[in-house]
Amino acid sequence: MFEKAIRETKAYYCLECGICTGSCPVSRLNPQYSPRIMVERALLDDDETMLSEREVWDCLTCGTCSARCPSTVDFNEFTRAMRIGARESGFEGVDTHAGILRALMELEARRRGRRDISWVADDLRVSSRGKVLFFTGCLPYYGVVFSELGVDTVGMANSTIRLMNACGVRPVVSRDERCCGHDLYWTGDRDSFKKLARKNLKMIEESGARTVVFACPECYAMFSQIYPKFVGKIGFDMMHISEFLVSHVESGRLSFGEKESRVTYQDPCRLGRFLGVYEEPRALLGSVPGLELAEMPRVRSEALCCGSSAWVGCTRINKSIQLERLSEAADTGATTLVTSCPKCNIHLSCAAKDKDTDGGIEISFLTDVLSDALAGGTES
Amino acid sequence: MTSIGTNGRVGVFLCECGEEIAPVVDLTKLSAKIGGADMPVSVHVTRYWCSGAGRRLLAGTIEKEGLDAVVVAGCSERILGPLMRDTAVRAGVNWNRTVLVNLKEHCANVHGGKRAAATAKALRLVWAGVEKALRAEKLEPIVSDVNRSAAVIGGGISGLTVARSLAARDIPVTLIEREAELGGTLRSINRLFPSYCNSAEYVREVAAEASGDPNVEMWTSSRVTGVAGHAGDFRLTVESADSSRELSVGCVVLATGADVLVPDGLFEYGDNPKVVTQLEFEAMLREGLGTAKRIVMIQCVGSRNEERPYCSRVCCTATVKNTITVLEQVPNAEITVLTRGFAQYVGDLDRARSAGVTFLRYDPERPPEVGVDTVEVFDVISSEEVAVRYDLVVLATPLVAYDETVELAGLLGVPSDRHGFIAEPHTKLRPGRFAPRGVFIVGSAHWPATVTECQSQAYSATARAAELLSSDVIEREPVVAAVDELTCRGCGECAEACAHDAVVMRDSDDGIKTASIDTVRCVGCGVCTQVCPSSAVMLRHLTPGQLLAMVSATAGRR
Amino acid sequence: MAAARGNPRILAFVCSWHPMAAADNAGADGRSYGTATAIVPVDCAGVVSAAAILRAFSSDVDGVLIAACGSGDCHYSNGNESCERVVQETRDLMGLAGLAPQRLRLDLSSDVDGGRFVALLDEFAVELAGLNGRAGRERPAPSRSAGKKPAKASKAKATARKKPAKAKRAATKKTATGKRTSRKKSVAAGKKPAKASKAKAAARKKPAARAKRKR
Repeated sequence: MFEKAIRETKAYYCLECGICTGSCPVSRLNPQYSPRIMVERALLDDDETMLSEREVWDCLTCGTCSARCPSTVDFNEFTRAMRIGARESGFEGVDTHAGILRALMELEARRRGRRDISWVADDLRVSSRGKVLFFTGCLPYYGVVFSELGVDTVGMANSTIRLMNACGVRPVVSRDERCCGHDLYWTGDRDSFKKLARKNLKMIEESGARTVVFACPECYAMFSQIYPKFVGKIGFDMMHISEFLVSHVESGRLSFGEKESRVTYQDPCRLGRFLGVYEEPRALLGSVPGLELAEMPRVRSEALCCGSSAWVGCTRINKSIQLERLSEAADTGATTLVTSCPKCNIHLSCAAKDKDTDGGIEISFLTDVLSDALAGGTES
Repeated sequence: MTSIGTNGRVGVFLCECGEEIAPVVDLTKLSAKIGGADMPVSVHVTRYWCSGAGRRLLAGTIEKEGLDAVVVAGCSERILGPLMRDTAVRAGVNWNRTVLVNLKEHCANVHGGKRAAATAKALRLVWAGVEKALRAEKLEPIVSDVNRSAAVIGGGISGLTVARSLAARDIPVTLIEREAELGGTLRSINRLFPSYCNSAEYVREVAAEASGDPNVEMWTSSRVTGVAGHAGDFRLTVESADSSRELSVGCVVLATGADVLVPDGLFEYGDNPKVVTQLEFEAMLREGLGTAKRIVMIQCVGSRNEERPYCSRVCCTATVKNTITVLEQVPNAEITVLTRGFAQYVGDLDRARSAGVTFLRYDPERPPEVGVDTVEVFDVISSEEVAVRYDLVVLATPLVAYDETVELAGLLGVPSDRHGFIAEPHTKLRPGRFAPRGVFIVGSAHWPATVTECQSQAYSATARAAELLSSDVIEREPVVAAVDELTCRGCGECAEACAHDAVVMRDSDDGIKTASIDTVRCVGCGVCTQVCPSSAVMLRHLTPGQLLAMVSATAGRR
Repeated sequence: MAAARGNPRILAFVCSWHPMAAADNAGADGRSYGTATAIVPVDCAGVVSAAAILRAFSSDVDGVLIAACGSGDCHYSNGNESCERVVQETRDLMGLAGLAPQRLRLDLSSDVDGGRFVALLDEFAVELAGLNGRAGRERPAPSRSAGKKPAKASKAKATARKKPAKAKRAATKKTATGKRTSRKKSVAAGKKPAKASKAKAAARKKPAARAKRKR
């Protein structure tokens, strides 16, 4: 059943060294879960029984194992192939938040309807056509679903636009945008993912944009790494907001005012291990006068995942990972943990919410921190 | 991981329902479509699956085809759900894998004359049922031990009678009375109809007998403030002035009686000291009437009106009983009773008439007027204005529900009516049977009742309670939430959302709390499932996967 | 697809208590409603998830009705209140996704009259027909900013953002049509069809102890 997946993910080359399982943040807490054993079982044609097991849904797709694998087996894609197989055999993961997020993604894939963008703050400048497009992703929706966590994802989208405005760019925010399909892709719903990808590419074409800027690393990774596999070459440039802003800081167009604080930085899996963007967010934080960056022990390609992915199977194991990361962050002495992925922000905030011991660390989004520094400082 | 579990075979049983469904829904076409689909189903059609022959055929088909899920597409779940489910369960199908689809009230009845559209819709409804059945887990009933004991709430004549007769069957009873003294309303009554015995003495004797029974424990000056659990295993929270304790019993008898309306502002009551209620009059009769000779009694004061349209049933008999007592004490007394006509049986009416009591009938549109020393009334029978001189006016006021009884009914899950009384769903067809198992309502809490009626109801409740308590175990459908402890993140949102205190948060080895469900308290409402961030808690009898599949099928999604 | 005017596709989640009695009575009394209206029976409105509602919309229905018991009458204590919160959240999401929030209606009533149930469906069908065609094609959306949920706002943590004002945008913000309608924030639970005069049961009050709630 997995012939193709085994071939494409290079599972054949598995040396059974176990470095994957040793690297896996889930395996360390849940001995039931082992990437190595899953690959072995697939090779031994035990795939049919595997499909019904809950371990199919345990992988965070953080990519730590593949980054260390001597045979460069693509375990993420292997997991995705298993999930597609599981779905086809009638097994599903447990959708978190009573399935509301999956339902939203399906809705965007299947229905017509133009998004409401009245959440864009009044003082910001956006347009419906133009050279640069800001892909907002699911930020507006998360604002409804996660308001109780105190995570203001609408604020994140607005601070991103504010920073772009400060660079003299009036981005396109399109009402025809759709979810990027990241979570459906990684949970094995190929059909809906493809529908979303096609709608998004059409939307960008119609907007006239040459450059698409992402605040969410998941959207960025989907567009730049996954879409081309299904639709061929992409005809526009793509960059994360940190990459976009760094170029403007370097050109002197963007600068920040004084902001005394000690922060630490969470490398998102997508932005880091997937896309190799490690330095730009750090450079931006470094360009804020008075802002001190205290690094956690595990950073860049070694960074610990925020513990959950794709709104599926978020368990006490995931929470343990999150609590571990939060205490690592607190140990740096920083007052703020800065993330550049909205989902890292949501997941870590969720774990921090009912943490008995006071972790005491605030969790902030990169563009919010920068936008605050902007407001307190330079004219743009 | 959620299993869709498409293995297993579903029997779809389409019902013609005589002339109800078949003329509107094309069952031939429907069964062809269902049978022709690529699904593990078999289709069967008959005239009435609910008939004896139909049920035998259903059971036979289940056994012959080895079906492990059943969809009966006929009439309302509310009407035939229990019967069809019972039939399927007896034939070996798990109750949770028996699904009813309503093709009658929800399709044929409302789409008459639109055969094609109704048939197309019926197909979608049946598929929704099939999807639900395919995804339904086999759920075993929750079996719990029956606590062979009873709580009786209320120490009036009803409660005392129940306590005494349950105790006589060797069933331990705890009687909870909010007053310090037992006896209830009968303590304030002079004599009882029909024996004319001393009421207070009588009830004191009954109370003494009950109290002396080793099987009866009396908790006086106590109130029930919380109820959890179900038939066989109820947990009551009982509070008294200085303590709060939990009482575990197998069944609960509610016998809290009713209050007597105080007719403030009616017929000069409260302003004129010569106007009293029948209840106050009872006390006067006990003390001796004194000089009062001319007595006017007014019936239906505060009842059979817009606010309280009901007849309180017991007042006319009480009034007539009191006229006879008056005439025994003061043989030359002049008694006039103003009625609105009798709506109920009234004892000793003839005896009172022949003893010289005058009965006049008044019109509620022209009620009697109480003056300084006369009552003026328009007598409907003679069509004359009559003025009756009086020394005393006695008002018969109705029984009204105690607020506390309404609250208790809520705690016990029995609906009370808008007057606060608690009648069973089918007063005539299934008297004494209340919706929640193990809960019985006796006496005037149920509806205004005479002492004789209270006692009959008490014996009836005793028999039913004893029947329940005679089993060692009780089974019930597991309509409760379940937590996947491996998934639970211990955030406690569920515990906060639960209105029934059914979620227990425990400490675990990994330092993260774990929620678990107290199935005694859980009512299976599913409110917790809406707030759980990790979807760790769900209703196993209606899983998210089932609901989504039902929605898709009903909407005709391909 | 066929026009949605006369016979809009309505999916009705019907609670098994009072509302199901009303739905059954509608049939037993020989009343009629559109053949594109179909009932999904649920134990209690409290089990209807936002996911189930959105699934209905992604399955191309024009409107979703949730029929719940009247306030204070929930057999399970607070299933109907819980449903109100779910409905509010779902409507907020629908608005953002370009689906008119009026396409989701919650009816809280303990009236078991079949006539009232049919009147409710009829009125909803008329409202749906008035929404500029099929779902997803309606005119642009509501003006209230996202992330501001009245139903939950009280619980939102103070730690959130420092500039909540940024998230807001006045109702005058230009859009494709230049016009916008302001969204009603109520769940419209109180909306009653014209014929619903005898809401007798709704007047009945429930014991306070049943309504015991922590929040």
